[in-house]
Amino acid sequence: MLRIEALTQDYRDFRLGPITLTLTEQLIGLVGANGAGKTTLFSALAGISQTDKGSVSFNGANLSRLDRLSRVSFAHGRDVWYHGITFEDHLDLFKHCYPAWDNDVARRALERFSIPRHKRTGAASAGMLAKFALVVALARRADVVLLDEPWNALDPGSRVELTNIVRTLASEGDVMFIVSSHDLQEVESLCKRFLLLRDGMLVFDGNEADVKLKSGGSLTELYLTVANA
Amino acid sequence: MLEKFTAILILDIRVHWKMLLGMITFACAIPTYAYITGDHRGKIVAMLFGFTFLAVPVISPWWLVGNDRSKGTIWLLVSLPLSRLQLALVKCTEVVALSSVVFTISVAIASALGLLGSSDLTQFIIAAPLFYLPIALLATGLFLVFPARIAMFPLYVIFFGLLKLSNEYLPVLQKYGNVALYLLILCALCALAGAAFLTCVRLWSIRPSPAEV
Repeated sequence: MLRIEALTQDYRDFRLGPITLTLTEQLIGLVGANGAGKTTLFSALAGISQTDKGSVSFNGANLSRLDRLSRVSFAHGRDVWYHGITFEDHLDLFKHCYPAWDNDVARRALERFSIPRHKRTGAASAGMLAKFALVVALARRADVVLLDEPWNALDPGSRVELTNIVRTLASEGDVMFIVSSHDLQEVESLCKRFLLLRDGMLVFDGNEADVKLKSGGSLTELYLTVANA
Repeated sequence: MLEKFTAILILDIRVHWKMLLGMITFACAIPTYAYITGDHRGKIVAMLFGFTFLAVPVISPWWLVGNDRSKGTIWLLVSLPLSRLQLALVKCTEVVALSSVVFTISVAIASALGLLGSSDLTQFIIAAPLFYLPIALLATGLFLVFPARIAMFPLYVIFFGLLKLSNEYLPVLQKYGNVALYLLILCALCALAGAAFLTCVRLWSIRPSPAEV
């Protein structure tokens, strides 16, 4: 269970929160317009940016910023890998940096997702890089995986593959996935609970039934009603 | 901690090996060129001084930090379970280590070729630590604060300013060692203060850029 308590972060004239949430589902969708604060929330949850106020706890244990850097994985759509080296080289770095790193899990996940370990990341496709982010999240034994625009730049085949992988991983393990995307149909088909941000504030939190109740239809209709209100 | 430091260091060497090779080649080329052409010794000393003292600590952070920043791989580094201070220490250590390697190679070759006398060597050895750490810190701090392209401007100003100073004051350095030493200490202290300030400002809170909010 992930508990976010009065999380607040200021950035120039933008304020995120305060956000208070208790998340128990394995697949959670986070949606909102550009500038709503999705990436800011992810950065704060992952410990990448310092939060101004509030706390984050997982299964009752309070997580410091360094704890979050270890236990919350932020896999975003952009290419953050070193192009000149291979997937294997990246794993070697992470092996020394993450305290709970499991090399066997990493190797098995590479094989399972058909990622050639000796391929340079600079020569890999967007789909392969997206899957590699999941390999890293699994091998470091993250409790929470934050996926920011995971389907960006993926071809239809890779999109389906990535969605299926995330769904399978969520069903077979204890990992919680929070998926942020503008692709509302993908989010709706994958997730069980939905969060909607607007101007840094959480304006909707509910499951599929709540979405229908609020909008009378799909997540897209809710988004158009609430996010742009 | 040492394990993480070493892992990042090895990764950076693998990623930036071309830069390393280029700097070492250049460090070898300066004294070799001087030896072959029989150029004026004072000028060679100035070139060595300028390149090994100033250029390497200024160029290397661009590769080690600035380049990562403009490519987005700074995200990979700040996502590692390291405090900001630890991360800055890793990067500064790399810059100082790289500078020291290039400096040692360059001076050793110049010395072996008979281009440097014992007094020159003494001056280099005294001045090196006074220059390396502060300039590396300043440069690293700048690159952590600003995007690489913006950070290059103040660094170029610093680089050319100090290079000009080193060229102008080299004879003074040779004749009046103490005055030059005080000047070096002053520069080092100024650079250190600036570096500490900039590094603290950046590292205490890395925020998403407006485009990411």
